[in-house]
Amino acid sequence: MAGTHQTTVRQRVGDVYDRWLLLRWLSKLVPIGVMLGLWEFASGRLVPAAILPPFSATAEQIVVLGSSPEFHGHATDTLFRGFAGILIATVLAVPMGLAMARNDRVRRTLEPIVSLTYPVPKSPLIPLVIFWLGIGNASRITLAVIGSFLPILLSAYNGADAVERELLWSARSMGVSRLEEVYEVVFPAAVPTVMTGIRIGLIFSFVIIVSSEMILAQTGLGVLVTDFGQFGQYSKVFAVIFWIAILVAGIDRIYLLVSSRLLAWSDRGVSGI
Amino acid sequence: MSASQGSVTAGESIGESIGTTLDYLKPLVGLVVVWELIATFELVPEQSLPHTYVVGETLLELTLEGSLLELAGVTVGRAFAAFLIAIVIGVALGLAMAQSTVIGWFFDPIISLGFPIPKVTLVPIYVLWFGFGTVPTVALAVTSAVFPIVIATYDGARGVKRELVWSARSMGVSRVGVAREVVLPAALPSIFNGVQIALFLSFVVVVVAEMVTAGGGIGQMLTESVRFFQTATTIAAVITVAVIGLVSDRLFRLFRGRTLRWTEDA
Repeated sequence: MAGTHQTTVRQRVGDVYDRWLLLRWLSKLVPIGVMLGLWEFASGRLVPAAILPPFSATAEQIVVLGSSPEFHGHATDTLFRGFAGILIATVLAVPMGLAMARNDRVRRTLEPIVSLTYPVPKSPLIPLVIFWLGIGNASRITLAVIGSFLPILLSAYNGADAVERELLWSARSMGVSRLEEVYEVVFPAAVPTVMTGIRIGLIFSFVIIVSSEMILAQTGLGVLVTDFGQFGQYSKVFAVIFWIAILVAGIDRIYLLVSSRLLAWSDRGVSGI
Repeated sequence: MSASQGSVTAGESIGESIGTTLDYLKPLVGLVVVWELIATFELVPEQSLPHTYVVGETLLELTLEGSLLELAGVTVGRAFAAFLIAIVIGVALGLAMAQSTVIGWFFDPIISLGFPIPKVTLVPIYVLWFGFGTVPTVALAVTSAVFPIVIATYDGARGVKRELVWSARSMGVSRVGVAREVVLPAALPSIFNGVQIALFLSFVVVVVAEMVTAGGGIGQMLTESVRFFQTATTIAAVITVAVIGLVSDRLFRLFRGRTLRWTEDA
């Protein structure tokens, strides 16, 4: 009697828990829906529609824009620049960060440079880099590298620097060479931190690319924003912003999902502000 | 959170472990030498990279003339105003989210989805709403800077030990009182991490907004000087922003160290 009672309680708890997981997932969408609803309601009632076009008008433009090949071209350009930048920055910054953590000489050379440049805003370089490298891909990719390089470098340095000594000692005692040690011990131990650094780098590189496209460019999503803005087509501006939000937030979400899968072996996850 | 702490404390341990100013001067001297070599042998056209002394002269001239300091003052004022507003909004919202399940539930997805989105895209909308000049610039910087503060405050406040909150509540402290007297101090180290990123973002976004809207300040100086091929002026403006960013970061670290002296995280 008591046993059956227990199982039913457990089943019920389990049932509610399962549903709750799904509910929790769905409940995350509710606030977004509420905000969109407020937007729709406010437009034309609380504020003039000229200042805030209703969400329904924007939704129309979102569909129109999403199916236009011209928009696809701009979006591909921006995404290509962002990914190329982050790739180059990662390839350059991770080895440098590891070297900084493992070698005193490298550390003494690079530390002052990093601590002098890290807090400096990189956005003033946008006009200069465009002037030097032109209004095409070269300047944007360079800017993306500039924007994401230091967070990735520091994450690799921090991760490698925090490797437990016991790990290194035991590797050493097993006859591992210094280079093997970096490859086999230091790098894997630094990976969770590096993944966080890359996430921050990704965010920064898209900020700087879109900014630079809004300042001076021929293609890219930033150009669309300023062009529609200049012609006063505000529901189109909102539609572009929506797509940029979906793309960048989507990339961020996918990155978080993939990296938490990849880091399943580690007790640390990807985080980062 | 661990990562944000990592990146911030790394900067600090870097600063501490160096110690000697000589190590800091070396890269600066190296930069000037390489730059001057490139300029002397004209590896790039002079219009792209003027001699170091030309830039130095321009910097001195613009400073003595007063225009540089005036424009820098505009930019710094805007960034600082945005920074302060973002702190007030961000800390209040972060604490409220941690204290109330409903508020936390409502804002959590909005904040975590909104954080990676480049807020500069809002420039045309803010210009439509607030016109040109200081207001849209500050509003845009607040919009960007508030996110890291909310996230850091929320994370920090949720990490506060329940026992602390319970014992304060059992002693008859109100919910708001607990937030102010217990949660806020305990979350302060985390909040400072977010605030430091917000300081950086405020400057980045203010300069971008000034460049996009031609809204005065150093940003407009940058785009205009490039348009008229006054590269020396552009580089002088870049150096000015770099110095401002560096100095404000150092001051912030000092303040942070003072304020957090009682914690282990200082």
